[in-house]
Amino acid sequence: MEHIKQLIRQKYTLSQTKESVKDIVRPRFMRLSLGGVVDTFNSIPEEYRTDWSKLLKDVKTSKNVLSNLIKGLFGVHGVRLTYIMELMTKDAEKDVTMVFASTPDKKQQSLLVDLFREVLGPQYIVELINSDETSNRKVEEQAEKTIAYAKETGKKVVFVSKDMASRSFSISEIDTVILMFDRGSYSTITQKVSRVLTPGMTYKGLPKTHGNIISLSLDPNREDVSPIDEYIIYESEKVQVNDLNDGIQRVLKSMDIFTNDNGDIEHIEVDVYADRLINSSTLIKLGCETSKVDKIIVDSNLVDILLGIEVPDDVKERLMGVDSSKVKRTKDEPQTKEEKEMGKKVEDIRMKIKKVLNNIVENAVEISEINNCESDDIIETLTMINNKGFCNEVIHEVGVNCEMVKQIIMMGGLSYKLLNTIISSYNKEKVVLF
Amino acid sequence: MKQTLYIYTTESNRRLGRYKFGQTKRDAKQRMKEQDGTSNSEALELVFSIESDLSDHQVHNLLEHKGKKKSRSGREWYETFRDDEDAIFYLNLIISEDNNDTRPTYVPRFYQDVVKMMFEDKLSKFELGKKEFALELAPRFGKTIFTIDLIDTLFNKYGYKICFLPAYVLTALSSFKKEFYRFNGYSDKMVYVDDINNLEGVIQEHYGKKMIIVEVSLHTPDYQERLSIVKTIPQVEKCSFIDESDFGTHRTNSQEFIKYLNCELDVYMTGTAIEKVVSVLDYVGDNIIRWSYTDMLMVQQGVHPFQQELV
Repeated sequence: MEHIKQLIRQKYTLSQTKESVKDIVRPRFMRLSLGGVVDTFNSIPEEYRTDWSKLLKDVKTSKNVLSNLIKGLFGVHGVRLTYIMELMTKDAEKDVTMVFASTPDKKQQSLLVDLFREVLGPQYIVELINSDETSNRKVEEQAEKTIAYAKETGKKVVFVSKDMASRSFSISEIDTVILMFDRGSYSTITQKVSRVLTPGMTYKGLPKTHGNIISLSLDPNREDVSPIDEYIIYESEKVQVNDLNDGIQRVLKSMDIFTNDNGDIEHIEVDVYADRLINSSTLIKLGCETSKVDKIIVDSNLVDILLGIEVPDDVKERLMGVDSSKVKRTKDEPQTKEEKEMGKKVEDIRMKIKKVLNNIVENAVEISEINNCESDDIIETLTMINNKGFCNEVIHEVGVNCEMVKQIIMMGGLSYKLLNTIISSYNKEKVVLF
Repeated sequence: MKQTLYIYTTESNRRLGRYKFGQTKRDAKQRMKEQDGTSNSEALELVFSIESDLSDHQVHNLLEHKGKKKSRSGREWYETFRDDEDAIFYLNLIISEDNNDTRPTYVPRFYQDVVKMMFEDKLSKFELGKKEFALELAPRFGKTIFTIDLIDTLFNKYGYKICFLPAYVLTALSSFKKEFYRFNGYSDKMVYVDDINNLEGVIQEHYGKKMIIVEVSLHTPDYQERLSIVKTIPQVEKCSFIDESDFGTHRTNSQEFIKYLNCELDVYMTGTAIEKVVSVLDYVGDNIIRWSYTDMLMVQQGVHPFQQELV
């Protein structure tokens, strides 16, 4: 690395490096919650305290709640409406907005688009993006035309999609992305967030400096991580530093994050938010959600050991991913009984492995305890426990021995950095000064 | 003398594959506005514009030379273009063949240069034999032009003579051909093959003289037969770049296809989820390079670790 740094020093000045990225768009996250105003929390009706998947499952039934939320997000209401004033996203331009909503099927997606049209009125062009309406190849061109037309007629644009147009879809005029889902994989969140980061000119013809990402948590009671938290942690893991805490601090300093925790939209307090993300319970949840069964199932011996049974060869083959593209199936051809049973077996095994992985994450601090919190590194901790002859205690806590846990981590089934952060934050908490 | 060449069309003409190729000494948008509404019932849409020494008459002649026909006699409309990108590709191709190539030159951003240095640093440490790299480059990194530039370097410095672009979804390559012709300095030194039926002829004509870049779908039927010529090329001279590799490339079929190509160097690229890619690679070792969006933002603020000690 020193060799590269030397090359950089020979070739660049600091101002040259900054100049070369001056058009990079800065993300502005709005991490909103209906429970932002603590005082009003108790009076929030039960129907609001849900999650997106439940709310979007039946758009007709949720119409009133969804209408209020859309009005709240877009600020198109003239009178006070139930619990939406707190959202206050007027700082986000929303001239061209992209909504990613976790609708369960195309029918509900169409109903949601109709609802957007009804609520937002004629000043907005609301367009549905799905495979019935366009193709991946054409979607960008069509969106550009819609925006050109909107500019001519002085209207604003809302694109509604589930997953389509979350890759290779680059339109600089998109100024806001609204995430109407509860959680997703890191990669899908990153792809969706990135739709607002295309540099260029805005709808108003100005150079784009920032892009807004709005995520709304519906249940004020929930401690689950939001898609924005997941994005931040994911970015932090990639920062080239050893400690996740350091990574999180660097990421938070590079971005603007707003919240409505105290009623008004305001900058998040970096230290408080970082602490919240680093807080063991948050990290444990995140660690569980992000454990990777796929990494483990490639080792069939390990699978046998983790499950305590010998998995039959045909199930193993299926588990390791018989290529579904090899299977010829028409839309109308039903699954055979055997295929259904096999699918169930595979899913069952995946669930069991997931449980084993989650159990390790949940007991990471106990593992550190066995080692008297003597190391902030999980691999080192496990090695020390082994050397001290306490491996049976690890088996007692998580059901597998130290070497096995190490193997799972090294195979990427669990995040090494994340586990280190869990135990180091716990170890710090344990320090008592007299 | 330089003027602006431009391409425009209308919605219905686009559907018919028709585009107008014109020139102006002023701003292309202004010129288009003047024409809009005079003889056209539909709104005109500017597709592309570029400064050039060529006149529109020369462009028209060269378009006809390349088999494009005027759609209506006496007008500047030409037809049989697949889409906007195809029309842009033809205009850039014509400019690239002119003595005075006016297309812009790629100047890498700082971070693109750094990642290239990291890549070359790792590559140069290798002896002969199979090599795999996994690059997780944040969305908006500018992967396409970065890759084209890197492929150029692999030809000039490392002896690779043919580069495959296997794609699970062809949209992964949608910008590649466009960028290849948009920038000065690549299309004259490399040959882009977007139809494997033409591969044998291209190899016979250009192998060793120019880098041959081959776009190939991972769903190509009978690929062993259709790409049999690939087997005759030494492994050491073959490389591949697999973009959007978190999407389908880890599947058994895709891996079998990539193995069939038998390249010495396989570079897997993705914007996210690199773990999905790495899990199926046997030779990747620590050849994993990640550049996140935060890295880009840190460079913008001048606080990236790579900017330490810079003045």
